Order: sequence, then structure tokens, then C-alpha cells
Amino acid sequence: MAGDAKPPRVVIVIPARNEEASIGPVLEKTSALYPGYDIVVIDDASDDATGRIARAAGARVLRAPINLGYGGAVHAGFKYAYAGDYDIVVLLDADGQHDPRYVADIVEATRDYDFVVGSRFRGEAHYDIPPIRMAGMRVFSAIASAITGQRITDTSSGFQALRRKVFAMFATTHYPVDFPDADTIIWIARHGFKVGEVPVEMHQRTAGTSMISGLASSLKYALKMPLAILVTLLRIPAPHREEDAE
Amino acid sequence: MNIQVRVLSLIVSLLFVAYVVFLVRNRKLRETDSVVWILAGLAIFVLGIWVKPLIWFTDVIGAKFPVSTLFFSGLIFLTFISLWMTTRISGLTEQVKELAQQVTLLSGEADKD
Repeated sequence: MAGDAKPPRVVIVIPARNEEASIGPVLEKTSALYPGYDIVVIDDASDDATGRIARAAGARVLRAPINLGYGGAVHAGFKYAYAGDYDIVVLLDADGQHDPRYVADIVEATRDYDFVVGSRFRGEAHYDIPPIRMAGMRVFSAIASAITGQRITDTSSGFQALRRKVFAMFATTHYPVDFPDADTIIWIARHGFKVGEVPVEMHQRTAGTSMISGLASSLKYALKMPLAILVTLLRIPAPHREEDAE
Repeated sequence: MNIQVRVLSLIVSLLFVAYVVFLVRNRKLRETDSVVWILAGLAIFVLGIWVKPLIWFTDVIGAKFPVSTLFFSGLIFLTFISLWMTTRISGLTEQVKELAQQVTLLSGEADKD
């Protein structure tokens, strides 16, 4: 893309489930900063006013009739971007944790990388993360770094940018249904795509509840993630599609 | 428990876990759904090596042989699994209905254009 005369077509995909308290300000900030980017909210069958507020804020809203889960909503966003001929997808959370100011840095990094993760551990800020969860994040980051051969510090960050060839691969094949993590990064790297990180700052949640909370789900995460990484290594990467080459 | 039963349970449990991983690899089974089966396979593997807990539990419930305890626990486990599966089917049926209704409404919208 470097050297192209035309700027890339960027779409910011915001998966949202019951985020009426935070979606408004997130959209306001984002559209003020990036008037040239399209914004699409995937309203994941919210029970509250998320969709209505997002539409009022001027975003394109796609509403799922049943709960897709985070991964399912993101996957729908990739399919939308693939059909809409976008060059770059930026994933941004609706809960206000991701600061839209960093979208520019993440998009800039797609000049050098096919898949960019906004890492909260590359910057200076400190985060209040429970020690057990932090240990899990360290272990999975180390595994992802070892397998991909690149230093990955924040596998669970949902603040990402994907170039067309990467989201085309997901749009036309599979994407994890629940929270994508180290397994997804390894899967991308195994396809030969270049993975990179840029430092970002994240805020504590402004409202609602986190996707990973409680002892039961932490335990499930600890059991599921090694298995997900194992099967990712056992799977054969999908061949690159001619029509998705950039 | 005699050695034949233990060796057999070790082999069967290993094959079982390998098959579950194979199914997940080929996307016939979701990672999340496979966790309970992998844990069950590992439990049988552990009990094949370390029989003490099984013997203790056999005494607690007043059974005569550890093997009957194993059968009894297996039956309870399978009963709960099938009940859980039924709730999943109910959930899926509800989702299909919801989706069909949405498609019905959209077909009406498309006719208007």
C-alpha cells in the first residue's frame, strides 16, 4: 500500500452488546477524529438502546437478531468490510476502554504489517489486572511470541487493525466464536502474514461488565486457551486466495 | 482393580482425548464444547493410574467393587451431559425460530422496494 496514490479505505468496526452508557461518547470522539473513515457498529442483539444511540450518532448500525458473541460480531464486521471492498479494518471496543486517538497509529502501522495489535503493555501506563489473569496473559504472550517469532505483549487486546488480505481470510473461512486471543494471532502468523504491535493506552471500563470476569470463566479460559493454541498448530493454514491479493 | 482393566482404561482414555482433539482440529467440535470431554477423558486416565480416590469413593457409597463405582459415576455423568445437550437443543430451536422470523420480516421489506 505504501506508494499508493489513493489513501486506503478504512472502516472502523465496533462490536457492541448492551453498551448504551458508553457507545455515544465513543462514536462522537471517533467520528470527530476520523471524518474520512467509515464507522460500523455491530449491535450484538442488545437489550438496551445501544443501536438507537449509535444510529443517532451517525454510525451505520448492523443489528444481529440473535446473540453472536464477541467473535461472531467481529466476524460479521469482517464480512461487511470484505463485501464493501475496504482495505483496512480497525476493531475498536464500544465500552470506552480503547482510546480512539490511537486509531491513527494503528492504521499507520499497517504500512509495515498485515495485522497490528494495539498493546497496552508496550507503553508507560500501568493497568489494574488481577494477578492470576496477568500471569495467564504473560504465559500466552510468551507462547505466541515463541511461535510467531515476533515479540507479542498483549494477546487479548481487541484494539487491532487488519489489512484486506487478513480479514478476507477470516471473512471467507472461520473466526473464533468467543474471545479471539493468542490462538488467532498464531493462526494469522502461520499464514505468513506480518504481525506487529504498537503501544496504546487503555482506560478502565466506563460501564457494563467485562467479557472475562469471575472465577469460572477464568478457569475456562485457562483450560480453553492451551487447547485452542494446540489445535491452531495442528490445523493446516488456508491457501491464499488470488482475488484477495493486494 | 486388576491390571488389565487399568491398562485398558489408560489406552481408551488416551485414544478418546486424541479423537476429541482431532474433532476440534477439523472444526467438528468447538473448543469450548470440547473442554468437558477432555476433562472426562483425563479423569479416566488419572483413575487408571491412581486408584486410591476410586477405592475411597467406593467405600463411601457402600459399593462392593471399584468398577461398579466407575460405571455408576459414568452413568450419572452421561445423564447430566444428555440433559445439558437437550437444553442446548432447546436454545438452538429458539434461535432458529428467531432467525426465521427476522428473514420473514426482511422478505416483506424486500417486496416493498
